[in-house]
Amino acid sequence: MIYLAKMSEETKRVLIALAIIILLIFVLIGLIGTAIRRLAKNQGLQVDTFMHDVVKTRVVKTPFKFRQLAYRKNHRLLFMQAWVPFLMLLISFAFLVGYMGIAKRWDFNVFDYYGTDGTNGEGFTTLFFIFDFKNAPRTDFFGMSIVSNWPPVLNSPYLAKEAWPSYVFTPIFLVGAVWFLVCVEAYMARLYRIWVLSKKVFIKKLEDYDAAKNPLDPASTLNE
Amino acid sequence: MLKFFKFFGQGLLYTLLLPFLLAFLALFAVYSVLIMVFYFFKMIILFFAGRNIFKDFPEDIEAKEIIEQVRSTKAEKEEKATQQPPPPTYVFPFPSPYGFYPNPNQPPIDQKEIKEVESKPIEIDEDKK
Repeated sequence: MIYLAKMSEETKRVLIALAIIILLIFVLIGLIGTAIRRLAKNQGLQVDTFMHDVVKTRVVKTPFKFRQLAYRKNHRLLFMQAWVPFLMLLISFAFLVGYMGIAKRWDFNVFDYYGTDGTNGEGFTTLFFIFDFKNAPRTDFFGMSIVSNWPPVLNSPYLAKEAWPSYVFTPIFLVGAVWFLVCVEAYMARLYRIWVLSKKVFIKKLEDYDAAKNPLDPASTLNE
Repeated sequence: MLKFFKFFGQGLLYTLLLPFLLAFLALFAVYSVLIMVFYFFKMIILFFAGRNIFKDFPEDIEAKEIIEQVRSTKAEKEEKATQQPPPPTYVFPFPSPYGFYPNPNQPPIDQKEIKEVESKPIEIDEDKK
């Protein structure tokens, strides 16, 4: 507390600004997380669609049978949804390995930005700014050493003809990987939904049942 | 404001859980790759066996049959309910003595039985005359 009182007005302002920034970052993460949860919930509803008929017609009568069939359908749906991104991943890998084999360059580095003189890098990172965070100016902040200014630039974006395989490989691989992960996330959401439904759908509730008022009618119970 | 802090709390929670969630996702990604490879080979084998991997499961076929059965029974019932039986046709081979034919749909009228009275000639007293 005394330490806070001793602080200059400027330091206090910086502290408040930092607190607000951290707060906003966490709120943003919370919003993104909520959006992903909603998306997963919607993706999980596909289970309801593909299990509706078999449950309504009483073809599936037990939680075990429900899970068994739903898992099989879920695997098949994953295969149907993910074969395009999976093929993209395979093609990108086949292209890279093929290039390395044909050019006999097994030391090809997809992340290289420098090359031999800073103008002939062979990785996709030649298209980005690369900062030297190791040698960034730092300052002490409450006992912590934090970056206090922009670090030196190691690389500015440029096109290198040596990097053309990386330019082909990286976009295909990235699109395929993200797409595949979205499919996997949907698969997980459906797995969770299958588990929830298998517990919920076959429950027989006695909450509002009054045995004294409603004597058991075997015919009606069997016909249900 | 409450919602803002709720999102802040959720953000904090997600940040703490992020490594576990990512590890979970990575595990499932590997498992999914295995599923993809397995289904790929299964698809190829089934293709050469003249079968399709995406055909309906036996349970689906059974469910479809039941639904179709229920639909057809329902449609039959509705058809029976809406369809009225055609009025019966009566053929009168001879001309009616009443000048009209009785309505076949008319319900029978409950009439009291009329006793026939024997007709006698009126007797006139000759003496009174």
